[in-house]
Amino acid sequence: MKGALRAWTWLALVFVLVAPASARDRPVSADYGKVIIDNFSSHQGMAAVRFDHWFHRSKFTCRVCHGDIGFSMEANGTKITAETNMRGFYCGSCHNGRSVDDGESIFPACSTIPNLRGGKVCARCHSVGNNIRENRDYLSFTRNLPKARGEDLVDWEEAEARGLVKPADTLPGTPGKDRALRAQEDFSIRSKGWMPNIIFSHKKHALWNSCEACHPEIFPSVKRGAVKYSMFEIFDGEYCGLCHDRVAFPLSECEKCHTDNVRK
Amino acid sequence: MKRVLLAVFVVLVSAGMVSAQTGLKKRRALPFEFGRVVLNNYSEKAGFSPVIFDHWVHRSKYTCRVCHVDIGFAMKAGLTNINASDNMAGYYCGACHDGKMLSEGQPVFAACAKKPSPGEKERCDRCHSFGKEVKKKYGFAEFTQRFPKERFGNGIDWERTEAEGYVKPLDVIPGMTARKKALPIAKDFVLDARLESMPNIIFSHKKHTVWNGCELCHPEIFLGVKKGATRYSMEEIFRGQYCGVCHMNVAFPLLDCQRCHSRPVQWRNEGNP
Repeated sequence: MKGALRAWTWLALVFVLVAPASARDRPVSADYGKVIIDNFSSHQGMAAVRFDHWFHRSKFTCRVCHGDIGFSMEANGTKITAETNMRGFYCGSCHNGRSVDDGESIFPACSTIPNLRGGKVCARCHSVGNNIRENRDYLSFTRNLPKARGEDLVDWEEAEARGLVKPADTLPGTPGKDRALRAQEDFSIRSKGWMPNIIFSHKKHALWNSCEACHPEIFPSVKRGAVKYSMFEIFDGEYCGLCHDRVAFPLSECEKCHTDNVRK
Repeated sequence: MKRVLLAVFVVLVSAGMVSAQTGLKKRRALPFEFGRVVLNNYSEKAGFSPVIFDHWVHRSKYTCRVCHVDIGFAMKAGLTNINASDNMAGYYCGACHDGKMLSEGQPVFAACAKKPSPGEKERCDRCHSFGKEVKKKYGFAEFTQRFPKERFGNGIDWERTEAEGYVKPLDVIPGMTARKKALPIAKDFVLDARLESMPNIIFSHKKHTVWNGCELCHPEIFLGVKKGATRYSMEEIFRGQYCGVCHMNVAFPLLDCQRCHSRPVQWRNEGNP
């Protein structure tokens, strides 16, 4: 009896230690950048919303949605309601039945009109748990886009550099974005341990984000070294980790940031 | 020894959790919510909903100076410590909201009552509206429909809105406040940005004094009147001090870097001496 109990204890300990390590499985590439939004949907008897980043980011820079329109970078953080959508905010900034993309009018988000477009409009977003056939298939859309190392994830930087995607940086009718600031020179951020230092490029980031997607909310400082964070916070989804590992290239690609080969 | 290690571990983990105030991108106020102040010094204790004060209506009718200098409101939620008796005595909100003063030919509804009767609840709800569905007198979209637009904040270019005559904010409340003779205004001047790559700031006293006079900023927010005497940087501004007192939550927000950092940078390698 005593021996059996000991064996069970060891087994339980092994499970406890191993299980968390396997919880960070990488999602399949079509699911990378997926956001499930359910502030109010279930409450109202609708399926939760599934938002996939990959299609929108091929059309617009991050700045348009996370700067101009003002979406939070946290699932359920924006508190989008049908009312705000119908008033032309958030999703409704484009999904209003009038704005045109690729020659077609963009379907309206939320509506009080019963049975709009055959009743199929709501389910295009409120799709969690339902077997909805997507209008656009991830694999066929991304077939000819360059991929990141060894994975099916798209290398968006390369895709844009080659002109395969041309994300727009403004929405028609949004005022004020004609005063571009010149990006700072790349600079080095010291890494704490034995890893190479990071070379941070404002130029690459500002192409998609300008200043306002990151400053001052994510990085409340413009003085290097003033905001203290480490890989703990980054792995936890803060600072760099707000985008990288969720939507932008994952943190497993260490060598994309830790590139400064200066002898430490 | 083990206990010491455990204690150290717990302290480190909790320190990490506590410092997680930045590094995130939370929800941003929508144009009609920008400039909203929630006041709850005493409301809930007295059995009322907290007060929601939206800046946009008032700023279209009065300059910042009238409320923040003449009447004396603080510039931080909760700091003014407004209570019903002060209002009823004609201070703070009660300076205008007294049931008698006229605005656009109509008397302004009185703020607070000693013992509001059930029929008066609707009047209380006009301000004590947090969490309630209260029909407002002015709808943001209709009110601002023709105003010139700008990005961020209220989505309105308030400067142009006034310059083009869509709003005419009063700088004096007749019978209540007075202005002395205006002082001459300093010329626009340049403030150096610390980062070489950022354009310098062109600061315009002229634009600011239209709304603020001298006394709103000096000496409380900006102690010195000599350029360079008050030392501050974007760190303090992002924390809501100095320029950040207004340009975080009410005036155009700090997201719009180019509105202040507007002096074109002279780059040496672009053919300039």
